[in-house]
Amino acid sequence: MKLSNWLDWQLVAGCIVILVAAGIGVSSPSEYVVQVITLGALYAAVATAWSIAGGMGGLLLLGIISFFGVGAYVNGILFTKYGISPWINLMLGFLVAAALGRLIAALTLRFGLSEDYFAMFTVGISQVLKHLLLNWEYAGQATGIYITIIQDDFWMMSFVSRKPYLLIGLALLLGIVVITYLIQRSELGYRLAAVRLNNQAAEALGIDSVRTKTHAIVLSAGLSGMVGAFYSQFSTFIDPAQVFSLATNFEMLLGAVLGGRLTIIGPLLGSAALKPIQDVMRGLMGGGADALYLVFYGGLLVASCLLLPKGIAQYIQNWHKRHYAKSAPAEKQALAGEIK
Amino acid sequence: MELDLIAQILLLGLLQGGVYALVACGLTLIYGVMKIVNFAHAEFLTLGMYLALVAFEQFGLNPYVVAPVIFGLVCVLGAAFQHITIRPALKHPQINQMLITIGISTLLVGLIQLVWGPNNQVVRLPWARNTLDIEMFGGEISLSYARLIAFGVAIAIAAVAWWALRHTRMGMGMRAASQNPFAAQLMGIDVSRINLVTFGVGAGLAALAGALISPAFFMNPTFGKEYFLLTAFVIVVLGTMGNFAGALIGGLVIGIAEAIGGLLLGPAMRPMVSLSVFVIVLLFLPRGIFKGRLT
Repeated sequence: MKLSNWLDWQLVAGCIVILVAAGIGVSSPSEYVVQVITLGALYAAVATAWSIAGGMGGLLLLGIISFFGVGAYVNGILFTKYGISPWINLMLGFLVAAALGRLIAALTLRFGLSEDYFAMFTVGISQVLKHLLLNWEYAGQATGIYITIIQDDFWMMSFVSRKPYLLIGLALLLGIVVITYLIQRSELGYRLAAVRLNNQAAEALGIDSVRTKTHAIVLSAGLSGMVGAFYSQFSTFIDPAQVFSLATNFEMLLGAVLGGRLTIIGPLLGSAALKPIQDVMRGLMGGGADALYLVFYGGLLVASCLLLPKGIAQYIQNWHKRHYAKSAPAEKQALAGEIK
Repeated sequence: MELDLIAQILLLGLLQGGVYALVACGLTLIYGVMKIVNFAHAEFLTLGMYLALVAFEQFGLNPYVVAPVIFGLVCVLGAAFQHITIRPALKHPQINQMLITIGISTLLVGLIQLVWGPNNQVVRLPWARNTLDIEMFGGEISLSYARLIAFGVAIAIAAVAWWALRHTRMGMGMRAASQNPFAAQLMGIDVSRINLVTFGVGAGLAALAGALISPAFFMNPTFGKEYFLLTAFVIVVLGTMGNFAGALIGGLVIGIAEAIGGLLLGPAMRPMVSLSVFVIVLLFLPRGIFKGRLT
């Protein structure tokens, strides 16, 4: 691991950001600050998971909330009806959401459907799931599922204090950041870059683009499902309108786009900046802030797409290049994480 | 089940389908010419509803009288959005364009909520809620005037737009640009002006549909997104994206399909119908029921 390598540098920087967030959260006496940081970590985790398919793979997987919501319901149902430990449900949430991702990939990729159809389909699926759960009596319909926590029980991921959740949420985020780092360095990362930059050329070189895209979708879906499973345990209440909300969906994507969806650190930084802004606005203006926040983040989404198409991380990458260019020899510079 | 009830439900579905068709026409036009999926489309419909409300409450004007003005206003607004936000992004990756329209959608929902508040409102036009009763199949079928007018005008406007696409200079320019923007440019067609007009007209058609249905539905800032956006997507996919006639027929088909679905599965499952159609179309007719664009 060398700091002159852009990928390694991003991993180290990501770890530092997460450690600082953990430090602030653990030392803060305010429950509210802990809540905001945990939510920010969850949004960042989904944004980072999305960047595997949406960034590296260049796929228009716009409806990432489907997988998050499915994961949330996996834990909600299994925990309240069968008393299965949320630690196990994190894994099951991953598997169920990944299976859904596999199904969507099979439905959409087999005809080589154009990206537009794919994008609309993924958004549509989230609303299908919302209406299915609104009509499913066993899962509480519109009332949703309440999770009651009475006493501390590590095995059942039940804590009276909010701080253990903060640490678990940040650990999840760290895990996902490490996974995206490993993917970017792996063969899959290079296959994804090839498919994103020129699908036909990649196919001509013997890369199975459907298989590559499917891998990316399954990974993004599964990891988002895992975060969703944790979210239901952390928030202790889920309903279909909330965990399949398109507003939340686009808010999560905005973090990734604003930060830079092609990098490891981008989604993390973007989300870390956004979530606290919403809460500060709410604190300053009360309930009326919601409409203003919509205006703010809609405008920000348009502006960041137009002015920063590669996100904030682009500037960090440029700085990184300049900073290490002085010390590294030319051929090493060429190797320094050159994934565009 | 009695025959007259079934006829009533099918006719209501058809009337709703006419409005869907008008909304989907604008969406498919924008896609056909600019290859952009406009996620903000439903917000222009919501805006049209609120503008009709303002005209009615502030100036006492009937939504049907003021609809052409609303069409014009939203046309200009849509063209302005296109000019400022979408034109510079036409060369960017597709995901940026989609995210920009999602941003516009969010921005508009926020602005509508800031100006008119989050609560349900309706244009109180009492006569429009009266019904036309027809004796049929041994029973009585009641259709409200608001829905009848919305259907009639929607179909007429869509037909006019279809004619204009085939026979006016601007319409032929749009068809040329949708087939090959580069070749159209070489033939002396000002493609960036075509894009401007297309986006404006598309948004305007959605707003016009909004004004037409404003006496029949309660409006709130997310009304369009909740009831029309995904349905419009399904319709344009069903009728082949970019195919104008396909959107017209697809709208009527989906309207009736939803009515039948609501009848068989219960009203709670109604939204599932159009989304199931989406999945079925993707599985068996991935290119829609029509092929080609803007024919």
